Amino acid sequence: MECEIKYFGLIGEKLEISSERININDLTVDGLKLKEVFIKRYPILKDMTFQIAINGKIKDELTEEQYISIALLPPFAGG
Amino acid sequence: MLSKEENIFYSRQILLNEIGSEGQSKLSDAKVLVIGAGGLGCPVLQYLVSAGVGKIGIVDEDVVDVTNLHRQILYTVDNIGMSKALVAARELRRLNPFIDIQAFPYKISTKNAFELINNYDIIVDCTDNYTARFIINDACVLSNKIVVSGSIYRFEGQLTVFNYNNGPTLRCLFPKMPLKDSIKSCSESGVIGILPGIIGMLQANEVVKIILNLGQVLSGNILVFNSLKNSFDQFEIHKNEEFNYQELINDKKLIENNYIQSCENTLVNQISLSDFIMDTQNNKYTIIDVRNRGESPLLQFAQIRKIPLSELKDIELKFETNNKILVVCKAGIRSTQALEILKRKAIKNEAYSLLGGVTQDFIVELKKLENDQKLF
Repeated sequence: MECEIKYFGLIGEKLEISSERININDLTVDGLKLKEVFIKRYPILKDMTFQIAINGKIKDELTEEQYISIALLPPFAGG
Repeated sequence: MLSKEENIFYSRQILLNEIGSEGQSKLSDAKVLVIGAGGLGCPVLQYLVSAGVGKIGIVDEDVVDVTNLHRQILYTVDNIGMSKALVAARELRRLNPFIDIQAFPYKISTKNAFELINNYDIIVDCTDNYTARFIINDACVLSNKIVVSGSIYRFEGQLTVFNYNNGPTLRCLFPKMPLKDSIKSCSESGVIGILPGIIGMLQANEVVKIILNLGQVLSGNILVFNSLKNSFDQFEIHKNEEFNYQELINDKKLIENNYIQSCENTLVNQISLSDFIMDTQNNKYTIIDVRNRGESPLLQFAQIRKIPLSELKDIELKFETNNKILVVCKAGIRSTQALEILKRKAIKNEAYSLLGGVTQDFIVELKKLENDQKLF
């Protein structure tokens, strides 16, 4: 099953993509939390603060779901 | 009880069944403090004042700069160099003379936060840095005040309401100061003025909903808007019961570590204005201003090197061996980043970032140093 991933703010800018689809098997790595999986996939995320939302809820654990949408949310500071 | 003139002024919104005279009275009794009178703050203030929120406070230490005018729509070219808080208050009184408007033309800090928010019920966070955001959040949680928070980045905006009916707070979303590579200000990344206009109006909308107890307040959810895609996404925030706010006021060192460092895991030399002045008695400093050209207040001293942060890494730099370096910017964030660049360029001189950035007090002290021939 493929997950839809959205990258917001500075994360989207640094990765140069705003969204992509990733197979759920590539996001489920033994011993790693979801955030660590993304950092491994995109090492530039290591020095960034962000939250992960899964199906509209901020959390860091993938569970069995029918459809999965993931968002990486960095803090916005501008005013 | 509203006057006859007020009833006429607000007649179009009093017509709404959901508001009526009773709702208009609630707006009139409400007390809202808007912290930041910039891109977000301007539309927030305009719409809250025109809606009839009875008492408004405006906090901003900044002065109007020409680079603000494309998005900070309360100001004109005639206001360049003038206090934003004072100009905003004047213009808003012209917009609606029935509102009690107070201007606080200084920066929110750990020293004044509790006093500033004390006389208001709802605090609107329109600031542009996370130091201020954490100070506002923490003071409001400890004082039981609601925070309507807006923030922007390029073409995207975030909006949420913290500490509403025991709901989540900023520390539930980001418990610690974000890493420096995670955030950029408008002056670093750019912004189109329309975006803070939209987010600011959404913030004003949340304030009115809270006052009138209408609709769904954006508590426990963060809204993310993308102006290029016309997309609105919402994400649920869960409450972090483990964060201990009481520790913040019990441990002074924790307060300093939380609010003074603008980045985590980076050894940054920061120096306060008073410590810098004291140190100039025994040491020579070279000062670098890394703000964009033309940013107010101008530092009109020939001895100061003006190198915008974006150009710093490409410029060959040489310093007198025994001189220390002081890097300055608007709020102490870009100057911190500049220290990293100097470090990568293998500059050996002891270098500091000025805490709190360029202020009128700093300019006064520089004039004294210049008179004493201590500017190099």
